[in-house]
Amino acid sequence: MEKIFIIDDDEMYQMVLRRTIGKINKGIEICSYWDGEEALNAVMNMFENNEKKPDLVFLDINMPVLDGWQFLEELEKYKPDVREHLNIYMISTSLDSNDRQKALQNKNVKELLTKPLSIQTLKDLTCGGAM
Amino acid sequence: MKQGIARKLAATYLTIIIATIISGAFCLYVLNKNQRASSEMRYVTLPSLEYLKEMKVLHQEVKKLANTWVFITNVRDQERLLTIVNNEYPQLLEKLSTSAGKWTDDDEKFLFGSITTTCNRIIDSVHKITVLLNSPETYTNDQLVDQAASINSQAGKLIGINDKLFDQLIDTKEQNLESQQNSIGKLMNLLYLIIALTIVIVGSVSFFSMRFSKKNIVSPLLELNHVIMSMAVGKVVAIEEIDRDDEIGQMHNAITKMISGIIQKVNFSEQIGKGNYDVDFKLLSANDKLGTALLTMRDDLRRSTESLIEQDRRLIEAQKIARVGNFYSVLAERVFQSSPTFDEILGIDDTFEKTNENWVSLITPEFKSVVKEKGEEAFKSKSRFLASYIINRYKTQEERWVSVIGEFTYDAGGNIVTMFGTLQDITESKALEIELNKSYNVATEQNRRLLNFSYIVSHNLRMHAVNIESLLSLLDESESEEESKEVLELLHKASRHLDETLHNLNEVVAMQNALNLEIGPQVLKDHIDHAIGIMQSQIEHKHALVVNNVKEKVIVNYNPAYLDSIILNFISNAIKYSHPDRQPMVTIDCFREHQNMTKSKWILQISDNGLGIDMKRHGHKLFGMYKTFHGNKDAKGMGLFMTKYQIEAMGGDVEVESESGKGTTFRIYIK
Repeated sequence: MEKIFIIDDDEMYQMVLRRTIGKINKGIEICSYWDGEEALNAVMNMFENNEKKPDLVFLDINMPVLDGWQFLEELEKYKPDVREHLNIYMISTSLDSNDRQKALQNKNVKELLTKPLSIQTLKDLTCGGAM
Repeated sequence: MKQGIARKLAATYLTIIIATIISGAFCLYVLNKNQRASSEMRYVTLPSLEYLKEMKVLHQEVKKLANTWVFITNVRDQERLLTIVNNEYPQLLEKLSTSAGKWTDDDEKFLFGSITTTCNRIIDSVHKITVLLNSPETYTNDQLVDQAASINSQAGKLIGINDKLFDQLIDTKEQNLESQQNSIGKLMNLLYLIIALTIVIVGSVSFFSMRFSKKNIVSPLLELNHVIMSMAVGKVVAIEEIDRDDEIGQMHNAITKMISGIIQKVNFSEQIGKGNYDVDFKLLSANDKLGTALLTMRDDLRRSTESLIEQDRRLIEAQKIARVGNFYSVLAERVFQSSPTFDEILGIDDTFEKTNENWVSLITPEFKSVVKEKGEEAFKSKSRFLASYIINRYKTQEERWVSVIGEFTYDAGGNIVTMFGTLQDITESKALEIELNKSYNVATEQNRRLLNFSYIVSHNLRMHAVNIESLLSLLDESESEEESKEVLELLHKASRHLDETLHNLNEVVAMQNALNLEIGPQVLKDHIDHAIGIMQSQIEHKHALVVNNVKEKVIVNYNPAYLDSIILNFISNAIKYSHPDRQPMVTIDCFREHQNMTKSKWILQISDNGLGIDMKRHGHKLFGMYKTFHGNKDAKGMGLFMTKYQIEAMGGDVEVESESGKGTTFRIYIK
């Protein structure tokens, strides 16, 4: 595990996640984005420049400009085989069953994880569980 | 005493019959007499005269033979004489005797008796002479010759006597014959006279009878026939009574009375037809069935009409209460008839011409095409016409909601002939419906807000809880005091965020619970200037240009705090999200939009040349809580949410037009 994308407008949670992952593996590069549009631009640049792809993407649902679902739609327009390239995990404080259903039906989403992510979950994801 | 027409006719015909019988009897009598005279003449007088003339010829022949026979020995003369005296003479005498038996005149009978006696003596003398001549002695005895000469002389005398008698009797008979012929001629003349008289009498009687019949029977009957024939085709013409006692007079006067009765009944019926049930008339008699029926009909109609009037009154009252009127229109005539309630709903009075065009002209412009479409739909589907629309009442222009239900009738070609239906004033129920819809929308909106609020609560509050929980985990896991200190600082920060969120939510709750907001007339320009004043430092900082084009005369009914908040929020956003490459410009205008003749509303328009918003992407969540669109970390996503709420609370609405990179225009509709 070398690189993780965190796409979340919650500055506080970004910081918490960054620190927690750092505790698990200090060597992982973490890239943070504050909204969907910013993250979309970064991903598109990455594909265009053939940069190293992230091993994991944590994607928040509720964000300004482009929310998590819109991000996925736009990305799929650009890269139809998203799933082949990115391991995307939706993260949200939402307990809404509609969100869970929507995530299950979206082929580009591995899973919807409810915040807060426990250290064990993060360990499982970063230590090969999700790879 | 009444002299009937039948009696008059009977007298006339009796006269003709009697005249005919009398003349017939006379004719028969005369014919009988004539026949008897003719018979006597033909069977008595004429044969007698003929026999007498034959006898006289024979007599002359005897006379001639008797004078000469003595000297003549000619057997043929003797035989001829004997044939005459033995056969022809007696035969003719017998015929004459038979004929004479029918004679009526005594002198003639006497003369005939003398002739007969003389003839017999002549025959006797001839026989005697014949006997003497046939005796041979005679020719030798002078005495016998003398005797024969004496007989011959005597016979000659007898023949001479008989000649005179024959002449006398033939004269008499010829006179008789002439007399009889004269008598027959007279009888024939009499017969002709009788026949002529009969013809004259019968002709005169018939002529006068015909004149009488024509004057007294045929003409009046023809006149009555004309009247009756006219009546048969419904034409009733009054005729005058006449002064006649006979049946024709009675019939004429009866028809006069009947016509008078019919005219009375016609007038009576016309009055009933006009609804005048107080009209009355006298029955022609107790048996006047038609009159009785008409009076019964009048009473029935009076009751029915009274009942109908009562029902009509109730119907009108019911229509008035239900605010439902009815109408009827023959489309080709382009006019309509309507009930009082219909007129009252549309505000129609006598000055309104009830044409379909004028009715349509009362429909408010925004509904005209709707009504037309509904009409076309009903026509195509041959179904009922159903439409609800607003009309401007005649003269007052007051708006009323009406609901129209109409049914059409069609001709064989499928064209509309008539339209009948009802028009109901549904203004009150429509107002209730609108109010109800409004309440429903408010409830829906409140529900949506509640859902949104619960979502916010679940998401945002949970977000802070998650952060705090995560930070606490990190605190537990911290490996140094420095790290613990850092995490504690973050915990403080999370706590402040939580407090901030709670504060915001509190504001929303407070705003949503705000009832009975104070609303009053506000000078819009003053409020805009006030907001610009508050924003002055930011405006100067960004070198922005804010132009207030709103005129001082624009006064709106609004809650002043909401008005300030709304204006401040839009100007604040316009400055905050200005485009970095150009001088920020904010233009504020206000104009009036007319909904119809009587209603209009103000539109406050705030335009900027800022960053703009991608409407395709964000349009649907523009006014949502905690929604931000420019990636500005200071944005809290509360401003537009609050502003929209305040605008709607004032009965208005807000629209937005924006293009990313070019600018945004907000239009606030003020009720």
